[in-house]
Amino acid sequence: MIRKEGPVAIVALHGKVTLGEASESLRAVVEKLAGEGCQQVVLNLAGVPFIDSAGLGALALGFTLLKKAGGLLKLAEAPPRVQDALEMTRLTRLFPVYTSEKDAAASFANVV
Amino acid sequence: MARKPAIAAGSNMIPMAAFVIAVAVLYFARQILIPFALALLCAFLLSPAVKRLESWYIPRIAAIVLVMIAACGALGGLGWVVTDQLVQIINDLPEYRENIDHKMAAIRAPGSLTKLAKNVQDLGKELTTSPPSQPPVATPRKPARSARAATPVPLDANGPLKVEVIEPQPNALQSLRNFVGPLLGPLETAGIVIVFTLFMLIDREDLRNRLLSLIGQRQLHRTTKALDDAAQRVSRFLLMQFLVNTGFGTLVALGLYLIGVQSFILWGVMALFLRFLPYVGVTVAGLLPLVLALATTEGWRSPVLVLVLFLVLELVTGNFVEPMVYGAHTGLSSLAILAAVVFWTAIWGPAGLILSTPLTVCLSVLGRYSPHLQFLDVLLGDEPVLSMDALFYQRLLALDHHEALLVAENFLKENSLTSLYDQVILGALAMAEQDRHAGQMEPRREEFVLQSIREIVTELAETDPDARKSNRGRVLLEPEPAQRQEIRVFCFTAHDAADEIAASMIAQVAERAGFPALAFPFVESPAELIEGLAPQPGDLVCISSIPPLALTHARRMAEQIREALPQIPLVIGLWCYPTTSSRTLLALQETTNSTVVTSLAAAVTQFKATPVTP
Repeated sequence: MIRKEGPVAIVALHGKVTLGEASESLRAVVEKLAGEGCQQVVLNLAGVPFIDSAGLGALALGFTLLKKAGGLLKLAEAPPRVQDALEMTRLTRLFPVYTSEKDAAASFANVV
Repeated sequence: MARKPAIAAGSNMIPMAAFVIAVAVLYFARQILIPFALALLCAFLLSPAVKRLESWYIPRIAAIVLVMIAACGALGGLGWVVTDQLVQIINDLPEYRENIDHKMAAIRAPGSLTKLAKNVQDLGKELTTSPPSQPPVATPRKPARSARAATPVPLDANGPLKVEVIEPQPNALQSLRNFVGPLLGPLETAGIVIVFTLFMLIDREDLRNRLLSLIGQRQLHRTTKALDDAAQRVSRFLLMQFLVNTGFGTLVALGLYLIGVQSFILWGVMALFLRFLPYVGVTVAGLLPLVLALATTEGWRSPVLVLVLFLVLELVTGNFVEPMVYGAHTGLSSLAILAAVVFWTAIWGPAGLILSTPLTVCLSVLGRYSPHLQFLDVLLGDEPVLSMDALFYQRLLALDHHEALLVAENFLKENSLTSLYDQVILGALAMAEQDRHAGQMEPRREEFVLQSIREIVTELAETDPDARKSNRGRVLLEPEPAQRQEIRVFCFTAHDAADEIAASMIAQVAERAGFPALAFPFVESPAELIEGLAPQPGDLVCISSIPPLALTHARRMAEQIREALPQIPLVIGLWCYPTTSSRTLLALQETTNSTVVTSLAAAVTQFKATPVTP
């Protein structure tokens, strides 16, 4: 589910992000947003109970894709299990994880 | 052009002709082969005892004679006891005459079933009787001289003359011949079997060496293995059957004692020995005490209990105990044993019934070690004829996701997730890729196979027993603590969807070994992606590729990565790649400064061996 708050696109993910359809659609959404010229994207992970290595790969791929297009990807409201996975793979160093969607969206303004 | 099918048909006829000739030889030479096969069986049975005596420094001949005397004595004694008991029972039968008459009267009493049987019988008679026709006019014949001399018999005008043939009383010599005659055949066979067994036990090494020499010294290894295998399986089968039958006989005796049937020990012993005859033996063993219970006990309770006892014991032994005990020992399928019973009994009679299982075991072993006779092992053996990966792939091709998942789950019960991926799923993926590249897979089926494997891989990752034990479902076996946080594994897809699934598998396996892992779909510029991930010293890259074009795709990606990142440790996984082409693998390793592996287990070992460079 994608909604726009000003220049920021907020994508709420639901369900497990694993190998196959889920990680493919995540990649497709980010590609679509990058293609539309959207440079500030927040992924709300509150509805994601589990993420596997393919899901983490899709996040990393989305990040590099947006970065290449001059944009930035941020994450918000990751459940503990997902947060663990992000920390273990050190993806949190690439894109910070915010405790709320609002904070993540607001952080773009701070950067600007 | 028409010659090729003719040649093919001719080559197909050769095994059939060989089979027919073999069956004919077995049938027509049975007089020689049956004693020989029985002697072989006896030699198998007695040879452990002979060896044991020899180990006590008793000379071979003496050991054999002792064992033969003991065996013949035991059999003779047993036969004596059994015969004595049987004679006693038969002598006592007149005492139970009244009881038997009561039971027969109860059976004959008009009941609904009897009436029904009578009606059916009458109807049958009516249907089969030809309509009445005019009786031919009988011309009275002049009686023969002999008839004229005899007492006049009242004759029906049209009926045949009834004649009773009365044999003269046999004299002493004829009586002896009548009694001994039927026993001569079996006695003759028994004598030959004893002599054969003696010589087989005396010259067992010599016989084995002659057999080895006959087959040829070039086949020495294979023949030795085949002989050992056959001997081991037949001996184990006989031992196991003896143990199972002993248990069966003991329970029969105990059950009959509790029911109150006379001579319960006799029936137990008979059940023990008769059960060596597959399927038929137990019926005979059950029939005798059943008849005795019918004759000697009042009412129907005891016969019914005897029937139930044999039915329950046979069902439990046949369906649970034997498959569990024999399955691992004979290596024959139940259907093969049944077919063997029918076949050997048809050509060799009762001896074939006794010999059916050991002979079929030998045939199965022959099939296992002789490439030309491999069909015998496939037909008779109980080992799965499809490898696990082939079975898994076949189920997916049949669009049966559920059974494919069952295959995987059953494999996982006794194996690790890494083994499942290495031995089953990667193999299935490789077969799917082969079929796809050969143009043999329709798109709908291809999509189903890939989607099913994706789902199974994702599902198994979460239901793996190790995963359940771990905190939050993420398993981290404890490798070197320094490595655990330092090394990340970036799993790249060399080309297509199958490679992507394999990349996910290696990522899962790496995680279980303590390496945080990321799996990526196919990307045009992998080096750019890695650079975007800010790799640190120690992080490594693993490229996943599945045959048939594994090498080409992996090489292309490896070269791209190596060009941009000359320092990053690189592992190339050519999953299921035939290891015989090691020269090609060495060349790839040299040109890309990488390590090539062909299994996930080897890849993890390589990850662990990767030094953490500062």
